Amino acid sequence: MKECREVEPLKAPYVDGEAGAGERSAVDSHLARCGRCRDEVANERAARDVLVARRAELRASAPEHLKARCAAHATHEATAVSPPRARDAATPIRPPLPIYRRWVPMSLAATLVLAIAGVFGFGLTEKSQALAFQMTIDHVKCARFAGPAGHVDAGVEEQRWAATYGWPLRVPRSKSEATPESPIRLRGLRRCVVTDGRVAHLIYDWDGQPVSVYVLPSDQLDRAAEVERFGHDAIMWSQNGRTYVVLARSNRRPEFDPVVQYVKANVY
Amino acid sequence: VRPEGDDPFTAEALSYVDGLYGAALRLTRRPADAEDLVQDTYLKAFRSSSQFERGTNLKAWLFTILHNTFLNMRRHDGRNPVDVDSEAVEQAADLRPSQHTPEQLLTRATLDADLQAALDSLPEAFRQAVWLRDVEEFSYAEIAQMMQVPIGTVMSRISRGRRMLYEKMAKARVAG
Repeated sequence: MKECREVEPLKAPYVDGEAGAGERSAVDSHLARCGRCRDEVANERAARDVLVARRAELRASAPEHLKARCAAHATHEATAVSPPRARDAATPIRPPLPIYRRWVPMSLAATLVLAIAGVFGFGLTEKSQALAFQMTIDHVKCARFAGPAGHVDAGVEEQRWAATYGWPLRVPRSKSEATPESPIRLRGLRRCVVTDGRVAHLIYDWDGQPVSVYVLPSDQLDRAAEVERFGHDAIMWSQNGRTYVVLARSNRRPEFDPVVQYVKANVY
Repeated sequence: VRPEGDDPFTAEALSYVDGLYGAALRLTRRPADAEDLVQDTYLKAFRSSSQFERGTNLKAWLFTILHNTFLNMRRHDGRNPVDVDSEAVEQAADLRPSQHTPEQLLTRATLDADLQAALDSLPEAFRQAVWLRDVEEFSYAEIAQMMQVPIGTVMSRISRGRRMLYEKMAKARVAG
């Protein structure tokens, strides 16, 4: 005769009809003399029956825009990496490593340098330094994950952002082809994961080089600041209840100023 | 650009987007977070497609990535799912049998909103085990691999999760 604790792990396969003959017999025998377990099995079966009966309704349908984005990831990866190759059948399935352990070597090296330098190089005592550090890490990572290098519509992204995250965001307009008046092309808008989703991350293309614009929904800085760290320039300021950080590599610093001015002129 | 339809891996992977989104919704309970989770899952899957062993269960592989990605998100939130589970196990042990018959429960559960709310109120580990089993129809072994726990633990979580769900719906019936 099995005790209640011995029967416990057998209840699910018993209810599901997947218990072996011996296990089923043992559970039947126990239930015949244990009213509590009998009630539990009956309740478990009732809940299971409800779920199975409502399975079709419970299965959600993913929004069309999500399907489109996922398909876009496939297309983007198809152009960026070699086609999949079959593995040895004896090799077990192994899920991919966490995203931050799988950056290509250059990104990994750069990020590790950033992280180590950030901790030991300076104390992150000032908010502008902390922002620059955090955003630069995110920029280095996400520039490679920004999806297809196409052009997306700023107005559509604004509406999607407001509807999804509940706070309005002004996205500087851009054209499908950059011009002197509009030097950057919008590639995408995402939540910045590094900052727990509270920050909007606009990703632009500037002559083949990524430019990030981060928008925080609060005033974080008493005064504007420019921070140059690890080969990247972060220009940041707070205005109208928002904090903005424009970030790109430092290799074209003089030419970067018009880009920053363009962003400043179009985020309000 | 390689068209989606020319790549069986991509086409099959994308066919599971509804299931992944449903599971992500149950995990995160927020549509925006669920969308992010599904996107991250596909991004990782496509980048790691060479690691997938052809002929094995692609759906289970994708759900495993989804689960791992969610755990990483949780770690960034500073919460520890193990602590939640331990607490929930203690709570589950205190459940008392409901006075409602299974037939009454089935009648009550005709409302999707009630059922969804009851599901969402389950502790995470139990919610996920029950969902993967009863809605997504995975085997115990597949769930054990996804959640990286012993198969006995999976069976126990499914069983306890279903009973908790029953009690939640029974209470909703009283409240209603």
